[in-house]
Amino acid sequence: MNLAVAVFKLSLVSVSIMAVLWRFKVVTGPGALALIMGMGGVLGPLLAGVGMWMVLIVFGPTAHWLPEIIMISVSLALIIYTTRLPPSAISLTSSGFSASSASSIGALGKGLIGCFCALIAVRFLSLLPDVVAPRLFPWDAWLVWGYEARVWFETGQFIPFLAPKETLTADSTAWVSFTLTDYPKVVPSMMLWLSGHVTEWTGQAPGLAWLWAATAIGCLLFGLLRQLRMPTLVAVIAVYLWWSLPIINAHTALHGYADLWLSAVLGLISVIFLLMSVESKPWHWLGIMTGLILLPLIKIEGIYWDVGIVFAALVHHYRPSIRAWLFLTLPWLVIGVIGYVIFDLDWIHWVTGGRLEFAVSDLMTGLWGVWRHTFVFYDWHLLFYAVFLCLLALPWAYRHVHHFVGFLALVAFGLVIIVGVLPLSGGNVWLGSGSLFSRVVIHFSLPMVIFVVMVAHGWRQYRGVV
Amino acid sequence: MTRRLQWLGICLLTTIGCWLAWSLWVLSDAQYRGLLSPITVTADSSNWRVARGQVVQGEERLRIQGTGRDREVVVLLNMPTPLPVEAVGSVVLFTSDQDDIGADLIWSTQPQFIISGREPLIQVDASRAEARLNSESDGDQFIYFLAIQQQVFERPWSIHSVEIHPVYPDFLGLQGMLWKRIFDPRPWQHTDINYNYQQPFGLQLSLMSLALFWATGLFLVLGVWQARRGGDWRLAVVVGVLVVWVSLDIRWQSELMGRSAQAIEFLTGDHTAPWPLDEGDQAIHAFAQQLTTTHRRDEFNRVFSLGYEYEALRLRYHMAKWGVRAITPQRWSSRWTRRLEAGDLVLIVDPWDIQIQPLTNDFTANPKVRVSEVSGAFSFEGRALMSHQGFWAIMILSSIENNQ
Repeated sequence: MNLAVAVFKLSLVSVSIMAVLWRFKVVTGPGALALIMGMGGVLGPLLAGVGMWMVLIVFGPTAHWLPEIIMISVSLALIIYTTRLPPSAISLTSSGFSASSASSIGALGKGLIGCFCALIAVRFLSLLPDVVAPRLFPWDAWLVWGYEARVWFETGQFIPFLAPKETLTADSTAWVSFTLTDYPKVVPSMMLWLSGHVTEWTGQAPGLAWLWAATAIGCLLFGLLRQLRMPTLVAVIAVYLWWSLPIINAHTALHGYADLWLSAVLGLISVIFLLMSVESKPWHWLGIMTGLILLPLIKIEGIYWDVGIVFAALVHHYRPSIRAWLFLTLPWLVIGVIGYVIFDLDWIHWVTGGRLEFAVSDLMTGLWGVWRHTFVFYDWHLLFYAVFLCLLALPWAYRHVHHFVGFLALVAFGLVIIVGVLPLSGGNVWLGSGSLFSRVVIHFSLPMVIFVVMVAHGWRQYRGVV
Repeated sequence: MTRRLQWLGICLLTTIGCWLAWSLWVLSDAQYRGLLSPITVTADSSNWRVARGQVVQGEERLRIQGTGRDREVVVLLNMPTPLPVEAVGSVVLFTSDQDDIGADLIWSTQPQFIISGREPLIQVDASRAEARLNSESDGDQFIYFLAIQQQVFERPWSIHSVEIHPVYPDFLGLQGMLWKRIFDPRPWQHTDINYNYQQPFGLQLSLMSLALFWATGLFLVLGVWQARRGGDWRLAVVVGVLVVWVSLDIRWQSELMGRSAQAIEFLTGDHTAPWPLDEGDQAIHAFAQQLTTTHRRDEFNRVFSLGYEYEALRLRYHMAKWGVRAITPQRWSSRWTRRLEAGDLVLIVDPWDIQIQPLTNDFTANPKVRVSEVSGAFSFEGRALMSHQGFWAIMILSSIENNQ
């Protein structure tokens, strides 16, 4: 019963967003339904989490039905409002993209689509028992996110958490955090929103939201690739590639971390970048702005991805040439190196607000950690091998992907962060254990899969000289 | 057709030849070319526990200074991961220069230390003593604790580290291990979200390398085949990557299925919500349940949980409503007890490093106790309210008392 109510809540908020997106025709053409389902599935629970956070502050944890009531009311109001407008005024986008590579599906293709769909379905079913189990397994889930939700749930009050330094000094009415970082409250608010209707805290219902997010990301990916006129088989394989990643499965089964949600929003922004590369529309910028706001509200680390998104947006807008690229980036690189070597300027410390710092002495530890997790362990199957091969194949596929320069800039930013900046930072000691590496790669997993599929598809279609 | 068969035969024979050469190369090294690494525990590890004797733990060594109760020294090593008895071949103890430490290696196959087996530690050279385990078990027994027991103490000495070596296999044994590594995936059980563990004592061989080795072969075969037919060799590369990916994933799927089966078993069985994570957590959960049923939060001032990180924090989670604050070993010093005030409740979830001693003869009528950390980091007094499976609830009676 608890689970049914949680599914009902998730459906209500997601469908209300889907209805608005559908009504405003933000996307049309092949894959539009999947894309809208993905967008609604990602944004619905997150906006409900933001709503619950506001409700918590104003009314307290007992008003857990308010977020969906507000969202449904706003959605209905928007839909009713738009029905009174002439049809041309509500069409935010034209009817789609020019068909380029649509192909008919033969019997072998249909069989392969069936096989990959079956593999995805089996994965979904094998994650389900863990997701519905009444427990929070992983460390940070019950130490940070789930703990905060549970405190609000059991006390019936919105309680702020004091810094750990006040453990021995704060009075008896205070609750003290154990971690030094004061994480944003959207994810615990979302957990509370999904548990609000139960009588006893079990940590059960929130798990469904993680499976929901993973499913929504799959829909986004399928819808995007169909929008880009890629064959259905390629779109289904892409969904399978992302869904099959062991760490993604671990973060779904062992739900309770914020990273999958960060991945969902970063994935959504990547999708929007790709769509706007084909045909830029005002809602694209609205979507990117929403994502920019949501990322740091999910997890503090979201602010670093915001930097990458702003960078990608600038590249998308100005489309600099290779010379301009070098002109813009080389001086910064030189200034960074000179600043560090001669003036001991720790710009990683400066950029991260003191959370990380330059730690060149542990560079090899970091690189060894990256190497093991990318190429030795099977955390990511062949994803990094495929990314590596696709980087090699990029010159041959460039003709097919050069329109998507904003997205490519985001991919370049992410790869530089993962294999360049992280091993140089103080976080390199955690790269070996995987605690940092896995999480950063989860955030960036969807752009990587999209990159692999697009380049591989473009490379396959290459006919001629580079 | 015949030429194709010849070509396939050559490929097959080359693969088998390479495999045999590789196996012999691995077996020619005493450490099996690093494929079967020993588990090393250094002196500074938090897994050591002193059961008897005067032992000081430093960064580089455990200094054995004298005997304790029963005139013996017993140093316990809580295994980082419980290991199957039959998988452990030998245990090597690295010590300070020593003629003969005259100690035994004992081990426990129970989560609580109960002696299950014993072997003498034989001095191999001045700084190394070794015990060989030739234990046979029914396959279900795991070593939870190792211990070094010295009954005749002559002079102080030091332990630098311990290496636990697996039983090294012969040629067929190696093939069996390879087969198990690839085709016998264990149910995915771990609760760590960050990465997939390499099984301790498992073959330290990357499945990815094996898969890539296979993929390269597959690319070549498919590519050459396609090129000879005038077909699209690029498709061969893409299909090669995809086939290897799916193969790795089917293996991962079988690990997930094992876990799903366990989760379904839990879901269909009787359980109380919320499910504790493991046996240790069950005890903490039961302790929290008992305390919250017999006492109310407003009877106390502040509530602290005292213990190792996992135990102290799990209690904090189970008693979220009470606003429990965890005091973990990083904070264990005499300073923190000076902050204790009358009415504070200290919940002790560490039965190993924190000792509770009654201060009165009639404990039932006057349950006053002294709480002290074994190495003397802190101590304080209070009234015992409850005890459950080695965990205690101690109420502080007066802050002045603890300042003394």
